[in-house]
Order: sequence, then structure tokens, then C-alpha cells
Amino acid sequence: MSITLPSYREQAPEVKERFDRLKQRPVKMEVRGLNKVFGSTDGPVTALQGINFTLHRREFLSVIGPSGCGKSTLIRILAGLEIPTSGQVSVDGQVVRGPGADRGMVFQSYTLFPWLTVKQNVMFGLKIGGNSANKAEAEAREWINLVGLDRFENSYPNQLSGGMKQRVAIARALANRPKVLLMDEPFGALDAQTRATMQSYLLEIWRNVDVSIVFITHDLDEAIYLADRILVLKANPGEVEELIEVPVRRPRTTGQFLEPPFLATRKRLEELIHPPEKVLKQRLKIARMTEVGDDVE
Amino acid sequence: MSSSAKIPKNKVPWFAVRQDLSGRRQSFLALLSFALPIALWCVVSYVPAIWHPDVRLHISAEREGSSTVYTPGNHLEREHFGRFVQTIREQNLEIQRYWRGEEEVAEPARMVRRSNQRVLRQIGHFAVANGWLERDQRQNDEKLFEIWRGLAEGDLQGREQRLTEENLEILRLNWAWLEDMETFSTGGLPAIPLQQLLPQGRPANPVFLPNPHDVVLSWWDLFSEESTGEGKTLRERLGYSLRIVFSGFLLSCLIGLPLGILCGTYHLFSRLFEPFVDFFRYMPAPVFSTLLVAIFGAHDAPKIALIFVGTFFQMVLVIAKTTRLLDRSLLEAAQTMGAKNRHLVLKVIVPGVLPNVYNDLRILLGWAWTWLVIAELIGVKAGLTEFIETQGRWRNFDLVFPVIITIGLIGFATDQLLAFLRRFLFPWEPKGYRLSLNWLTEGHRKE
Ligand SMILES: Nc1ncnc2c1ncn2[C@@H]1O[C@H](COP(=O)(O)OP(=O)(O)OP(=O)(O)O)[C@@H](O)[C@H]1O
Ligand SMILES: [Mg+2]
Repeated sequence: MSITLPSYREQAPEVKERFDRLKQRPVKMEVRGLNKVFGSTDGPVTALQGINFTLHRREFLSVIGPSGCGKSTLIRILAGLEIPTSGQVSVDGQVVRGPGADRGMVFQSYTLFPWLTVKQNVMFGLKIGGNSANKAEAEAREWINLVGLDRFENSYPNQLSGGMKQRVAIARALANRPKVLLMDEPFGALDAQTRATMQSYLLEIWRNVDVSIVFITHDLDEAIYLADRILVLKANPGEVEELIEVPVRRPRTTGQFLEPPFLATRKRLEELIHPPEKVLKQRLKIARMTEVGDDVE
Repeated sequence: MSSSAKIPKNKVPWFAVRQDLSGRRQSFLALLSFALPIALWCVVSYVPAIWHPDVRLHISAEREGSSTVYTPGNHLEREHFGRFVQTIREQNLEIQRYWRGEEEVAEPARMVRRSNQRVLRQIGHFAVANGWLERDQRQNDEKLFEIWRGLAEGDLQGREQRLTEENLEILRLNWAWLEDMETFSTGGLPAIPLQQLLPQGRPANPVFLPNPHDVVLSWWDLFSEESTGEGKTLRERLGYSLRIVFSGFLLSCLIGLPLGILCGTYHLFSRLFEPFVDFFRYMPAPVFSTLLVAIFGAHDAPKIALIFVGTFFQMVLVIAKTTRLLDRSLLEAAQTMGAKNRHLVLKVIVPGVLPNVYNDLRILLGWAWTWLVIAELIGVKAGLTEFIETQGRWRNFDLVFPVIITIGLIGFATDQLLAFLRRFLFPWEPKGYRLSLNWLTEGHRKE
């Protein structure tokens, strides 16, 4: 038995209206003609080729693609940590020339400063930004409160679980009031349950903050659950395969995972990321290493 | 906490590959690691059946025609001692020929009396050891004469050291020639040679392995010595050596730490300094000693300079390497929060590498102590090393050992203290992560 799904392009009226509104909003970040070529021992590797997209105010953009397609390279260029071979990134019309406080970042690996307590970690950017110690501390408290870690404000990072660390990292990045929050597989190292909780947390936090988010993931459900639009990259070279508008209405709940618009999007992503011809090609050859018995399917 | 008592303890077996033992066992083993060598030293020193290849003389004698003179306290190999005793026995047989009148005494009476006086003095050391004489009375012939009398008549018997039967016999035979004297006078000594007492001693280890109690006693003597104005007391020497080590080391840190961190931070400085520093460190510090004396004079300055040269170049390289090990993503995270170069260095790199730099410095401080030994011998010799050198040359190893052990203890104690402080200085360092161990307090930490 098969279920007939609607097209993933089909949008309910309120969703369509939402996208219309979204596109009216000012553009926060614009990426134009981005190319990145790495020199390596076996010749140049084109990691990214001709990437274009725009990110509107309070938009949530997921980036998804097979491993090695250049997702991390892309987000590092957005952050200013990597210089593109050609093309440019601009934030509020200003061309990006290096890392800056207007683009906060949350890394997959835990990058809290181990020598600072949770509160001091969150205060780091605030103090560098020239806030007085008192003001920085008061603001840091609020952000820690927002991510629900008030009990741990004086703990050191090594006393926290992985999920807690990433919540602090989010608070730390948001405390600088960045225009864009860049997240590179922030929940990739967490177990499935923590990850689900963190996804809900992130949406809740985001509802309280005026920030646009670029969120890299390789988890299809995560991308659909969180994003307004999904940028699908393909590998070798890393190019935009498709920019999908997620037809699932907000506010999102986990119950929506089984609704037709969600499933339709999911099916489309599957087709893009794991096209049937590719899956076939990637099959391993059959080599019987042991006696397998007669119950092999 | 009664419920926790019910939980069966899952004890790690003594032999478990790459697993930590319980805190109590760790402490026990740490203690044992000191107790074992000390016990071994005691066994070798105090069980006569083990080793003891030498004899430590408490009565010596003179061999005719030999230029080597042994005095009480000297060590002789056992075999050599046996030959020594035999030689004296044979000399005594000769003397008995005079006694029996088979041969005339050829030497003038004055000479004979003088050598008889030396026979009398043979028991000087022995008498001191038994508490019959003060140390400075070993040449007091009147008292020695009375002691001979006491020994010959059986009134005196050694407590600490006793005469052998053979020697007692010789002593009594000699006494027959002496007892005519009421009190001692050089002129009253017989003009016929007396038999020498045979050399006596007890089994001993070579001088380079003094007994533990001797070392402890002389340690106490050396360090309780009060300043008399002439010569340096050991405490003064210790103070001096400490000053040299720490001056040199602090000077190294003052320049080496910032330079190392700069090299680890900026490729520019790394390439500008490290190749030369790397080359320079292969020239061992002592090769510069004469040069340093020529530049800085003969007193403290060249010594401090030598410790500086010995630690500085290593320090720059080690600190630069440690700095480079800092996770780069921490720097990137800081950059995305608006950190500029100044912030990256002062707020990320410095605090980030501090715990590891602290450990590096502990290791380098050990090197500073090593160079001290050479530093104190250049120019005008000074400090603990001079003491070790002088006493060592006189083979007073029971004085050398306390000083060597003291240096070891100070180094060890400093290191342990630093390791202990580390916990308070860097409270964020995870407990399980240790670059080097804090033996003394480690065991209790886990429980
Ligand atoms: N510093 C570099 N030097 C050379 N090649 C690089 C460098 N960084 C990335 N690459 C190459 O660029 C390509 C994209 O890498 P990137 O890390 O961006 O992929 P990714 O999509 O993030 O993969 P993943 O999902 O595994 O994280 C890869 O082929 C990688 O080998
Ligand atoms: Mg990646």
C-alpha cells in the first residue's frame, strides 16, 4: 500500500502568505557567486561553485547535503573564517571581510572556553564589545536564563553534558546580538533524544530573538522541522541543487512529522540526497566472509 | 550513608591493565616506593652477611718499609686486611726474637722508645670509641698508659669495641715490659721494641655507601650547625644555591615565557626566532662556562647566566609548542564574538595554555637544578656543590649523602607543591586529566 502525497511545492494558503511576508522582509545576508577552490597535493579541489542565496530577516535556513559537499566550508566563509576564491558575502549590504560579532557561530565541536564559567563564557563577547562588567553580567544572566541553565551559571564547561554545553554556546553567540546566527551541525554529537529536545529549545529561543539562522545538518527531519527554507547542496563540486520552501506551518510541533506536507518534503529531500541510481551504484559487492546460513535475504 | 555501605565494592585487582587503583592503594604504593629503597639500603648496611666487602679499621698498625699508612676509620678490602694482619704478625715474631735475646737491637734507644710510644697510641681511637677518652685526648700518653693498665689487668673491657683474644695476649705481654713504670714517662719506656697490636676492624661497606644512621646523624649535624663567621654553614650554602637556581629560572621565565607564547601565536615570530633557538639549544650550557666567567666575572652572575642559558632556549621551544597545541576552534569561536588579535592573545591563548605551560615550567625547573651543579663549579666555586666536591675529594661520603638527598628532597617537594597548587590555580582542569602525577596527594584525591 502506498500513500499518495501532495507535491512538496504545494503550500497551504497561510504558509504561502507567510512566505510572501518573509520575502518582503529586508535581506540580512546576501551570498553572490561564491566559489571556493582548495589547493591540495592531488591538484585543486573545488569545494563550492556558484553559490547564490539570500537570507531575510528572521529567516531560518537549513543547509543540507551529502558529506564532503562543502557545507562547513560554506558556513566558515559566511562567518569570515575562510576567504572565498571568488564571489562575496554581504551582511546588511556590508561586504564581509573577516569574522565579526554580527555573525555569531555555534560549532559542532564544543568550543566553550574551559577556563571560564558558564556565566563568564556568555560574558566574553559582551566584555570585548565594551560593555561594563556589571552590564555584561546582568545580560549574561538573562541569556543563561533563556536557555534554562541558571543553576549552572558558575559551573565550568567540563561539568556540563553535551546538550548543556551547546545551549551555553547558543546563549554565548546570541548574547552579542548577532544579525545572523551560523550553526554547523550543532547537535551532531548529541544522542537522538537530547537532539530532539535541543531542536525544540532552539525553536523556542529563536521565537524570542530577532536573528536569522543558517543551520547546517545532515539530518533530513531536523532540517524540515526547523527551517523555513532548505538549501540542498550536491557534492563534487558543491553546487546548489535546490532551494526548498518548507510547506509545514508554524509553530512547529513534533506531531507534524507525520503530516502530508512534512512527508512530501521529506520524500523530496530523500530523492535529492539519496537518488535511487546513486544508491544502486554505492551498493557494496557481495563477498561472503563467513558461513551465513540459509536464511539470507 | 548506610545505604552506600550495602553497595558491593567493585575493587580493581592489583594487576589490571591501564586501570587506576583505589586511592588508598595508590598512597600505599607511593609510600612503598620510598620504603623499599630505604629498606634495601638498611639491609645492605646492617646485615653483616650481605656484601660488606671492606673492613673499617679501629686499630691500625705500622708496616715496615711501606709508605702507605692506614689510620683508624680507613676502609680496607677484606683480603687486603688479612694480608695486613699477617704482615704485622710476622713483624711481631721478629720482635719476639729480640725479647728472647736471639738478636741485638740495632736501633738507638731513642728511636725504639718513640716507636713504642706509637704502639701505646695504637688504642687511641679504640679508647675514644669506648668512651674512655675524649676525642682530642688520643695523644695523651698518661691517660693511654692508664687504659693499657686497665686492659691488661682486666679492669677495662670494651663495650662498643673489644680487643680480640690475640690482641689482649699481645697487650698483656707488652704490659710486662711497661708495668715497672708507675706513671707514664717517655724515658720510662723500654728500649726494646714492643709488639704491635694486630689491626682490628669490623666488616663494612665501601666508603661510598655510608650507613643510613651515619647519614641521618651527619645530616642533623650539618643542618643544625650555627654560623660561626668562618666558613659557610650548610644552611647558608643551601640558601645560596636556592637563590642561584631561582634567579636563573625566573630570568628565563621573564623572557622565555612571553617569547614562547609569541612564537606559538604568530608564525612571524616562530620563523624569526625558533630556527636559531633550536640550533642554540644543541650547544650544551656548560660549554659556555668559561665564556660566561669572562663576561660576568667569577661570582654569582655567571652562575645565574649558566642556568639561564640552560633553560631559556628549551623554554622558548617547549612553550611555543604548547601554545600551538591550543585548539584552534577556540580562537575561531572568539573571533565570531568580535575578538581582535589583542583579545585573542590575552583572553584566549594565554589563559588557554596556562595550565599546560605551568606543567612545562615544572619540568624545566628540574633542568635548572641540573645546571646548578655545573654553575656552582664555574668561576669561584660556591654553594652546595662546592661542599659536595670538597667533602667528596676527602672521601667523606657520609657528609656528601645528606647534601645530595637534601637537593633531591627540595626538588621533589617543590614539584609536589606546584602539582598540589595546580588544582587551586586551574580549577577547571578536569580531575582525570593529568600531565604528570602528584604522588603525595594523588591517592587521597579520588576518595
Ligand atoms: N583546508 C582544506 N584544505 C583542502 N581541502 C579542504 C579543506 N577543507 C575542506 N576541504 C575539502 O573541501 C570539501 C568540503 O569539505 P567540508 O568540510 O566543507 O564538507 P562538509 O559538507 O562540511 O562535510 P561533512 O558533512 O562531512 O561535515 C571536502 O572535499 C574537503 O576535502
Ligand atoms: Mg562539516
